[in-house]
Amino acid sequence: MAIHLMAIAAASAVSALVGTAAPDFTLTDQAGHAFSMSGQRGHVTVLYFGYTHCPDICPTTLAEVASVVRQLGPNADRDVRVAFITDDPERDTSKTLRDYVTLFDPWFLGLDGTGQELAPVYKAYHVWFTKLPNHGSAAGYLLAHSSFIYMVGKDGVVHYVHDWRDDRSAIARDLRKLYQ
Amino acid sequence: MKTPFVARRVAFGVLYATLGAGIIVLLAAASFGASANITIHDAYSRPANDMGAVFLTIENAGSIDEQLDDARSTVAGATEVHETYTVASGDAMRHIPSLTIPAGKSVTLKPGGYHIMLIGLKNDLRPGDRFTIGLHFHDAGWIDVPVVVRPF
Repeated sequence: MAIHLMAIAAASAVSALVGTAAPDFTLTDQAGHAFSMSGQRGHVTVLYFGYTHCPDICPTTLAEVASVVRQLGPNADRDVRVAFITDDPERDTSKTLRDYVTLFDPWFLGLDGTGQELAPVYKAYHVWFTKLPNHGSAAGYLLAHSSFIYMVGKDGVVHYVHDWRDDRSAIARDLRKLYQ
Repeated sequence: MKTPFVARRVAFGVLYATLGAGIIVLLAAASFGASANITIHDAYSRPANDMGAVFLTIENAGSIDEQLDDARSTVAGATEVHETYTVASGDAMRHIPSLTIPAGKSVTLKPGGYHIMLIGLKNDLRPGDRFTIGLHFHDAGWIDVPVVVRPF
């Protein structure tokens, strides 16, 4: 029940981001380069928070984002910055992030940081997650987590926040509006 | 670029129901992909390098409900039946010891719902790869299921 209420709170809070400048942060991509949100001006940026042990939602969402981005045009996956930010710095490393995000697109970025670097990013983007009790699964712990797709325009403003379950055509339509 | 989209609900990753951990030894199966009343079709997986998932449809042509209560494979350290659930749908979480396939009905394991989780893949799964998993049903016993890796 507590998880349920926290998730609803996250859903209402995240909508307040729409129309505001994307909160700035600096994290490290899988190649070791710094990635700052303010440095992405001029590019459409898509942010998604998840973890590489995620069995279902994260790969489903990233595959959908990859497909939608590639439909925008021949070089769209290079032009649009798609960044997967880990919810699980305890287990995710630059190597696991690289192996993971490149399953979906060679241009996708996997962002990592220390717990101290990531905490304010989670807060600013109203990212919610919690470790779930392990009922004997060999997977180790799994996370319950918010699963939003944040779309930031070339102007650095968060224009849309989609839920991963939203219709693919709606996600594609909004991304196209930002990309054009 | 107007009309801000308001997120409607929080879906969230995860899982759960551990129906049995990694039994790697394959026992003799009743038959390939089917038993008297249970038929499994459209089994597929997706590219993965550590954690994978298998999705498929289970059809129960029998007159009594069946239970999917275990899974195994040789491609991963452990193979488990999991469920992804949505937090904001109203229900609290529940632990399901087995998945019921109602008599005369089909149940589809698909992204965002039930899936067979492959934990600790021994090799990367690449598009076109094929492997076999075993699913255990309370009445039908073990059924081998051929799986193909589809591209995203």
